Amino acid sequence: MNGRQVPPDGTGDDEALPCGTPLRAVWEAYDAGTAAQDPHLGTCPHCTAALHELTVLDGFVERARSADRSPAVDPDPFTTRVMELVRLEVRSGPALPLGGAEEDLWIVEAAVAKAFRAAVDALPGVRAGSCRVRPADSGAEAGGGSVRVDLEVVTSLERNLQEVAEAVRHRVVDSAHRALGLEVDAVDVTVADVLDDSGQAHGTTFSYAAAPGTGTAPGHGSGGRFGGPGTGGGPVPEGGTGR
Amino acid sequence: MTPHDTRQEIERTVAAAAGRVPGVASLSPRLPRLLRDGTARFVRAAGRGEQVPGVHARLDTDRHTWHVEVKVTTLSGHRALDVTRAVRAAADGAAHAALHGARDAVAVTVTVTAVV
Repeated sequence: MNGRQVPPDGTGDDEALPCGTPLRAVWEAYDAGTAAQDPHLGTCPHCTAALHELTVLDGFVERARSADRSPAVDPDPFTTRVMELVRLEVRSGPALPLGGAEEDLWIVEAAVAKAFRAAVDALPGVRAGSCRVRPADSGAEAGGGSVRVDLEVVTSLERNLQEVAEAVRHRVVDSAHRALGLEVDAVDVTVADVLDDSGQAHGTTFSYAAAPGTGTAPGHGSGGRFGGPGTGGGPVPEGGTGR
Repeated sequence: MTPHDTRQEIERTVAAAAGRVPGVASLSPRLPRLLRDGTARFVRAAGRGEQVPGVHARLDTDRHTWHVEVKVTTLSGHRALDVTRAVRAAADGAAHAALHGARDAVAVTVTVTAVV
């Protein structure tokens, strides 16, 4: 066998109910709103029970979404735990490769992003925001298991933004190697906002990109901007100023 | 022993072995399995037996290979790659033991679903 294994998609858990109907088919009919029109789903006790369970789950998901839009209302511990499970499952993200191409070892994006954010939050004056992790194209071509990281941070103006970006990048790569064993091909850092002495956001966005092992590598990477014309070697504001 | 019995034995044996690997906090059921637990009364009534959370075994009859998928939550302080390698080794050995000398091959996939 050559090259990286295919990421697991969880379809191995998709088993048939005792009546022979795949649980996935019940789920799809529920999502499509066609369950009521299906004569089997409407009468089969197994499918009816499964539909009931999906209705309950849908309620949990909707509550999870509502919790994102409104302040928390102190849910009971059981509800909190169930909703954490739902969030973990729904938002776990794609599986990312661990180890060599032949090893068939994986870690979900949510677990990787959580580790990276925690590592960056340990930096003084820096808070991690959105973190996306995807298999690196170069790694896929080589059959390896490297990833590419896009990370947003918020920081104060007390520190040089380039130094912040370098420190963030170093933290991410170090965490990837030491805590996870994940190979990082590139880290794109976006300073999504800056804070003044009073903690107020300025609403300015800067992007930096670099590949680990290549130093700062200004301009490396598809999404980053650094040292553009007329900037005197500084970062390029993306979002203008003010809100 | 039927393929279903073999599957159950593989899943149980692999789960026990994976759970003993240092750095493994727990095995991780996915939502479809959690949902199936909700309909477990039907599953049991149909004689399909108990399910093992976090481990799923499937026989590829064309290739005579058991595909064993293991999902784990790992402990921080243990490098995820090292844990998954140890889980794979443990799962591979456990699956072969459960096959009782049968010639079927074993292919193990390990996924970390969370680090706690």
